[in-house]
Amino acid sequence: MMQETPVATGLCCLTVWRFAQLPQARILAATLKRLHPAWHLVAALADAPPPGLACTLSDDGFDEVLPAPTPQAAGATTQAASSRDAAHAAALQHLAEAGHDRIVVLAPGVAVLNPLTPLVDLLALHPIVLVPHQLVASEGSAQDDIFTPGCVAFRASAEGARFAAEWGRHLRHGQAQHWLDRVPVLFDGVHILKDPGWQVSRRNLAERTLAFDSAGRLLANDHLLRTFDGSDRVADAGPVPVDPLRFSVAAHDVLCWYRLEVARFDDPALPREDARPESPAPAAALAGPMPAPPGRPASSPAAQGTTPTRYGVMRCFLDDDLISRYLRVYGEWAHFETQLLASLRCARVFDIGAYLGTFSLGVAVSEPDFVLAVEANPEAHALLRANLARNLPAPYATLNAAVLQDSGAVTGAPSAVDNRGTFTVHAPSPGAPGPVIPARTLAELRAEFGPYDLLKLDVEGSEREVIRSDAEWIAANKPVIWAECNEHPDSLALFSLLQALGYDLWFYRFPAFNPDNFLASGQRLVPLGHEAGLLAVAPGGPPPTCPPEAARAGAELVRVDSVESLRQALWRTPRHGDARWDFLSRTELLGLLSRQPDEARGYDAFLSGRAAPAPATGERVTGRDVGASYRNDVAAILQAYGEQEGMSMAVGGQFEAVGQIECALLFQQGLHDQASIIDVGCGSGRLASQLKDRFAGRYVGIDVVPALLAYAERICNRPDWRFYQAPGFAIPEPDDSADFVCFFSVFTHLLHEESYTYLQDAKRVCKPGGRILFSFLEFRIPSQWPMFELAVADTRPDKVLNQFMSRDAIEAWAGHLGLEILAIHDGDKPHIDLLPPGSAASGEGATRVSLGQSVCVLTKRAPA
Amino acid sequence: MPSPSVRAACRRLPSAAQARATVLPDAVYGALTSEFDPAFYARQLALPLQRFSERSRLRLLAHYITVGWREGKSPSAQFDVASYLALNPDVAAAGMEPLRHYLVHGQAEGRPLRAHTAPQADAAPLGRLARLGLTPDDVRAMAPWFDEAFYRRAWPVPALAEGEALAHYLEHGWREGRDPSPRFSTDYYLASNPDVKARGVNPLLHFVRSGRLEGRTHRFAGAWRAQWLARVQGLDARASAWRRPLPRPLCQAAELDEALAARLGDPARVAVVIALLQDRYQERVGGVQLCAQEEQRLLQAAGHAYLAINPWQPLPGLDTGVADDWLCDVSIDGHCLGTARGRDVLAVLARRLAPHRCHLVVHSLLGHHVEWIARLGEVVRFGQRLFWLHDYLSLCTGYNLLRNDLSACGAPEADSNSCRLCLHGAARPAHLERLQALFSRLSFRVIAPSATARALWTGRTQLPHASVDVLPHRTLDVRAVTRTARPTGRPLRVAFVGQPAVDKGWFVFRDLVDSLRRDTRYAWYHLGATADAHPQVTQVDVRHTPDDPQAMQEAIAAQAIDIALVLSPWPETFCLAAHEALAGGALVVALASGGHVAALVRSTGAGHLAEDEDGLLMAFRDGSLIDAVDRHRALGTAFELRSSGLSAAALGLIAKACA
Repeated sequence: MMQETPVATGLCCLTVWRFAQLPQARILAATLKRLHPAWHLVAALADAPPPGLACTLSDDGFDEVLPAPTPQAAGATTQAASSRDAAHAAALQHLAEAGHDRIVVLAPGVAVLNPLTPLVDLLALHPIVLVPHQLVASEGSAQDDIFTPGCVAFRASAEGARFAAEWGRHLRHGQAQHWLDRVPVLFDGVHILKDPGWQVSRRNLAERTLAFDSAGRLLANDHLLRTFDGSDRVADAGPVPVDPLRFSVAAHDVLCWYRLEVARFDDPALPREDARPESPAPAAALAGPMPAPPGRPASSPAAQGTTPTRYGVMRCFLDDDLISRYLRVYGEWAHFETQLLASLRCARVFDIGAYLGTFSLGVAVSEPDFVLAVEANPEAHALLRANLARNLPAPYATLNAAVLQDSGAVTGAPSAVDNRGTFTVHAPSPGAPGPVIPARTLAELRAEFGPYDLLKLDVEGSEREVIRSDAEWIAANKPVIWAECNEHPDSLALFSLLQALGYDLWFYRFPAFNPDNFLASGQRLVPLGHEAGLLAVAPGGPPPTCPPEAARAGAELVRVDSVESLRQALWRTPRHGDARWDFLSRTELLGLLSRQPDEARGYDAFLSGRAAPAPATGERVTGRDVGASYRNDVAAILQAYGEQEGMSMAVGGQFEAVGQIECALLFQQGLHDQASIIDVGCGSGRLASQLKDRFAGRYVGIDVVPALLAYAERICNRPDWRFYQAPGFAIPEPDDSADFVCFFSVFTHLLHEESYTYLQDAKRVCKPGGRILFSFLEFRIPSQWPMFELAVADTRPDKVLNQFMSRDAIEAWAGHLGLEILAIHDGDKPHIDLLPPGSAASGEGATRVSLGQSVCVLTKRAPA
Repeated sequence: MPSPSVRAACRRLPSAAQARATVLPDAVYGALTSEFDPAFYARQLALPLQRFSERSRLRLLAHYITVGWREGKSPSAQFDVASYLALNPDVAAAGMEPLRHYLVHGQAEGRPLRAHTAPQADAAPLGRLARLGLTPDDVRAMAPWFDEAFYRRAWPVPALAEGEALAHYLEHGWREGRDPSPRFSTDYYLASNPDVKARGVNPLLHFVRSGRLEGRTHRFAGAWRAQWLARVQGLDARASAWRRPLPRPLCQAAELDEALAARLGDPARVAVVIALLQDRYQERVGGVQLCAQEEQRLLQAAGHAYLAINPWQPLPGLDTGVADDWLCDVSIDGHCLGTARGRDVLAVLARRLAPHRCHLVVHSLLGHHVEWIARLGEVVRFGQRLFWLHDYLSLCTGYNLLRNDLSACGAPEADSNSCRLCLHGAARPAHLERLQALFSRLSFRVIAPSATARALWTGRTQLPHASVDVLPHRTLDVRAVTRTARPTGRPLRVAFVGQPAVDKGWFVFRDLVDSLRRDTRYAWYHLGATADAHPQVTQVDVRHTPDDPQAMQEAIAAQAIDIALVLSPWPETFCLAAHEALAGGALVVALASGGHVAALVRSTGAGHLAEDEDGLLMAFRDGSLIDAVDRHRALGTAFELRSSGLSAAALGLIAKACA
């Protein structure tokens, strides 16, 4: 209007603003015109110029100014439409009538930092281009629109014109608030320009890393930064509360520039925007997980980043690693744990299994004199080192080592992809994967770094081994010991060891989610997730108390004085569960519970170390209903855990690992494709599933629980094999029909008479020269002792039997049955060569393992 | 009736019934009167209670007996649980509740209640602080986090009485985003603890009362960068802040002429070196000023005259006013003749210097007027014209190549994002245009004080020039010495040398000290003329004067400094402090991006370069610097500084290297 009639075929840029936003709009005009001088820039005013303002908008770079629609002109709009929406609608209509063929709508707060050419290019191919401001899922952003009028482009094609008309209609009716989000569905040919260099603003700076390259170009997540929206408000969505300290320095450079530019373009005559209410940052806005930069797959093993945490800025992994996710989302990990331990105010801390350093940093609030942080995983150790260097306010040392009973070297690898903290180590062998790590004993570390009065252990099941490596000193000095305590028989064994060392023991269970977490996130990463640990303190001291904050969140510290009380405590520790339960009242939860099976259902088997179900009912021989108790157990487990996990649990867990070992043992004993095998107590197919692709011969699996048999049959999918239920302690197969008869974890749950009965029948069905294998528990193997202790502690009359057996008995039975003992393998000495899957049976790359239970191999002598 | 929020807050106390059962049967607790102060105790729990019924008193006491004392909470201001347990370790070991122990046994046994060195806060009247609801314990707890000197210097408050700074912070300061000390960031604490912000409580008080026990952090290492960028001003605002009133009276042409005539000797023997400086070099401390002092001394000794000119009005760039009216100080051989108008100075110089051989030496262009210099060039048209690269003002008004005076930028194209988003960006093109005109007219012989400066400048500049030579201010000679080993058990002495400023890496140093504050292997020093107090850092005032040019070197030796930190984030052209540190017997630890400093460390091998701040911290953490120091001592090499003769040598007026 202040120049000649615009060139109707050029590119037109529309921006709609109130005079309070004039400084911002001037920044847009200046930055846009510098890069795109030929664009026809149209300002649509939403209010009248304030009195006393002397300015010519053409000097600011605006080519055309549309005055605010008069009330008469705006008559078509409804009350709900704001003056800006009305101006916006009027401008869209005006531009359509003026015949512009390409229109780019930019919010007045936008500064154009690099050419918008990609948008223009896309407009040649698509009638409508939308530019999202948010590119990664983050907590608390669900209520925000993905598309804002910050940057929208369309062409005057049929579809583009329809879009402009519809947008104008919604604007006039005050219904445009969320309308743009529906556009990709409502119109054809909508292109979505996904690029972190566009629509950068305060509210998404935390998910973008801004940096200058050596040529001075500004990049957002390695993409050229093109538009930056500097206004605090984006499309009237309210103030943008984001923790500015999460931004990179370059982001602050941009904010600094924008602040100075606004001051430069300001005019005292301009009206002020309404004072923004000083509202606290809502939890959600602070909580978004830090994303991996686009273009780099999140699963990249080396991807690392930094995140602000309760302990300072920490480096963590950017993938699904559990603790890293907690740090990114909550800014903390296991805060209640470190609170408890910090309250004990220990002076010299040994953090074994330190991972990223959250424990060391967390207990450091009690200002210890020294911290030793040891981590076996070299990748995690690098982060640990950086995290402690940056944040630990106490003298410390870090070490990349595995702490074991003997020093030397081991190899290690994370045992779960989504939890790098589970780093297990193995004796080095030629084929074992992973880096070689020095192994140290605790006594050595003590000699090198001095004594400790707090020993934290998170070493994936090696806790006992670590303690034994300095047992004498520990027994004499009683440092506080804090060890992870998972649902695993190992935990019970650990308890026994600590009790034997003279400790008072406490079981501490606490929710993994801290409602008062550092980043104030309400997100639930693991519904109902609880963590638990054993706290061992010297007797006679003040009893530890649960930190009040933790107690409020539901943490509990309970005294445990027997294996049984620990088992009980573990049983009553929530597992991961239905997220909805977390929001039920206590009464509702009780209601839900009262409809569940009896609390004790499944408890008798819980952590009892019992593996495969014992076969057949014992009515005939002893009157014990072994099968019935198993059938009940299995039903309860399946109900609790679902089929796949339950089928594994029902046979003692570690479905694949144990099956592989059993399979390897059989091949080692000479199983070949022409052979036939009877698997007594086959359960859900732990062994059969391993054999199905490696063994062409005849297989018979018998068990007492039909559900398990059906599952085994299904997963093996070998029509030539037979699975069936067999009553009593009999093997209903023809005489001299099997080359192998095996009983894995069967005799461990039977009376001696029952086992002998089975062996009698096994001898009958076994071919001359064939082999009979069974696994058993014995007192001479120290690692099997905790099972016995459990059995002692369990005083219920209907408990499942855990039977120990002596080698005297085996010799006597063999003698009377005319069987020859070929070998008896100790359960704690590796004797089975485990081949990596797919490798040839040449023995290359094998790891030597044991089953845990001892193994006896018998043979039926061929008649002379 | 207590409000619902109070009732909710009190839910964590034992119930009234529990409390009665805990307290009343116990003869000692049952009889407690003044020893338990419910108001004091409730404050420690951050309970918003105003009045205390007998029931709430019992509940609070029961909380103290069962939970509170184990968390270090005290029953009254008079009895400090932590002190009592610390002074009586047997009580702590026995796990007894300390107040009960004291009343039953300790009092009779005459056991100490508190350490004798109880902070004065107890004795001092609380005054305004008491009205703010503070207890002596609060004041004591806040003491390490409040630095009155820092508070006054960082944000001057007019008419703030002595001792009132803490009250000011608690009442107003925190709302304005002030920090109570460099160790505690108000902005950060509020930003990272939205619950505290929402409740509107004072962040420092929250931190000392409960936040630190809850593991909340008080500072975000590096947050000073965000704060710097949130507060930095544009060049115009800076220039107006520096604006000085006109000097009265101005030195008139005749006066100047007379004074000059009296100072200049025989034109046949006396050459005149006209040096352009940014301020009165005789009165200021800094590398360039020291150069000028040295040049003056050398030239005077050789019988020549040193005529220094600096602008009256300091500016963050070039003067763009009328050249004739440009005001400058003129001094000869260190004597200031006065402040005069540019037109008068040119006229006098043209007349008086005509018989002499004259040379022009540009040390700094800050505040100077290029047109005026071009006309001065006419005066010295038969002499040499040297242009020193002490800084990069000839590339940008941001003379140390820091974007927004904060982050190294590497002088990219003026059209780049980096430049356009920098506070110097808008001024840069015009600035370069003026320099282009000057350099075209005068064809300088450019002197770089280091090869790194020459490489960077020639790679970036488009200014015409006759040549670029390297002439360091000082050179180092190596000699062998025998040195004793470091006394065992003595912490390594680490000093920040020079100005405590952002462009010297002072805040990086402060972050480092804060991170390592409990590491007894190190003791921290600051050697320099201006101080910026930090509780962990020992300030040693060191001021170069013309009479004592070796002050820094001597201070480093006298304090037995083991490591000098030179943490400039920008590519320094020549760092005198680093040379002085080496000559004083210290190792230099610097950032790899530190330009000449990094090159110096590489060439001498006497020090350590850290890739970034994390790497720096790591080198201290892992103790590798301790080994480096001990190795260096064992090596037995020492460095001696030798002057290069500076402009005097470059102009051939003295023999080279006659320090």
